[in-house]
Amino acid sequence: MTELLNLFENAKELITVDGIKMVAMWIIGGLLIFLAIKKEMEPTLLLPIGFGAILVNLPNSGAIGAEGPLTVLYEAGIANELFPLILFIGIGAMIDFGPLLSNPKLMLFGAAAQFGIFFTLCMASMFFPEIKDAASIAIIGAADGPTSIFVANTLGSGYVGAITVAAYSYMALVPIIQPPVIKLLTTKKERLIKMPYVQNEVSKTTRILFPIILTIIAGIVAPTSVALIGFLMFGNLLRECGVLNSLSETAQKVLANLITIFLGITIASQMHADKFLSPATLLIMGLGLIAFIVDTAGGVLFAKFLNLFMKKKVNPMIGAAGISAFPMSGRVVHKMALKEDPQNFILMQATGVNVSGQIASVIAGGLILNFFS
Amino acid sequence: MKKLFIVLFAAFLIAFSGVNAFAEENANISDVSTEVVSDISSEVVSDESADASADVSSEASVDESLAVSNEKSTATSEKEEGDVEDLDIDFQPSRFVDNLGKMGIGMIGIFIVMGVVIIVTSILNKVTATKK
Repeated sequence: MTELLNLFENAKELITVDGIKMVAMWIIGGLLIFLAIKKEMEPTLLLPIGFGAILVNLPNSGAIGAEGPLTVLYEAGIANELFPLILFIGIGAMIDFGPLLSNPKLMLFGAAAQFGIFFTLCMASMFFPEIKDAASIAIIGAADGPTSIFVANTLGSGYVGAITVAAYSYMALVPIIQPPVIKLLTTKKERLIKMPYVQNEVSKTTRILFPIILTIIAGIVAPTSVALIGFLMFGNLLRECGVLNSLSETAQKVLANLITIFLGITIASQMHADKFLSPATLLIMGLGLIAFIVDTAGGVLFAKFLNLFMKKKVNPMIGAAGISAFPMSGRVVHKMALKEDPQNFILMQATGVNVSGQIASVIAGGLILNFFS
Repeated sequence: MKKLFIVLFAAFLIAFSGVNAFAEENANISDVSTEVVSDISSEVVSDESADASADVSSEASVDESLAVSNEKSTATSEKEEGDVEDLDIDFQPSRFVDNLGKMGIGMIGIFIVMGVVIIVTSILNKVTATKK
């Protein structure tokens, strides 16, 4: 009888304050799983994160602790930033820089759309006395999961869990966040501006040299980001060289999926109720949203500013595609343009800007690390 | 529906942050009352030692009681700082202005790097273009 009663010994812990917090985390984990499955919002990350949140918030959970598998995985792949970097190889292999290389000036919009990172740095510093925490929160504006995890970990922030959940949640919510901001900042006349696409040939040599040269430039400017930009460009080089198709496919599919599984569930080890359920988490969520909104606004306003000086106007909506949420942001802008005028096709330009946002976000991450590490 | 889930998600976070803050406040109140008792007892002990040395020098005993009161105020302020650290948030609007410089440097830095990349890419395109 005593043994039977001992089976439910742990259940007593649920009726304490800590236990209530654990139950709250079950609900949050369940919500993330629901959003991933039912609403298909970034299911590759939100589902493992949601399930992991439940795993680590069970009384005396064997998944964490000194010998727990999630702790071992965390030390093996997150604490040393390895998982996000390996994932970047896969992401680099997936990206086609062709639309960007045929019109390199689009990179300016990618740069402008990183304004939200630095604005949020100033905002976050008002609330968090440690500047490294403020910088880690600001990098949510990079709209890139691996970059956010890499920078937050390198800076030693204690909010990696909340930052990751915020980054991936808002990336999934780009179709909801961006359109109202774009409509607020543009007129109907501006949204109707057409941008005929002229296909410029990009040579194979350019496609091969671009990742190498970009790594060298970014590495000289921000040495701390060499791993980040280097792994992304290595993945792209695998794709573009033309002689490693099997490796490129492996990187895009098997490697990316494998690391995503481990990354998602391991990040959840930072979502223990004690750390996650705090006013700071709520503030981080709010600041992350501000970062995304100001990113969008920065890109659009920059495009409008350029239009003051250009004879051939650009559709200012493409500035919003400079956010690094690839390829969702480009598609959102393209859909908005089609909605205004079914004959207005700006997908290639929006995709080019979106891709440049990926590069700019990594460079921004490198600059943040340069300033604060 | 998506907006509804966003609102629900935010509401959960607010509600359970409130639970957490309430629990922390209760923990802090018991900590403070324990510290006040220990402060009072240490003050009594230091007062007794100040009285014992009053024969040696009256100025010295005044200095000691001043030092005790300074220590007490320092301990109180340290406790207040500890409270802020426990809550992780310390609202200081002036820090926004202090970091504006970093914002400017960061944005200029990104534009410079991207500008260099644009120039290099344009040169690459011209040099490697197939001649028709």
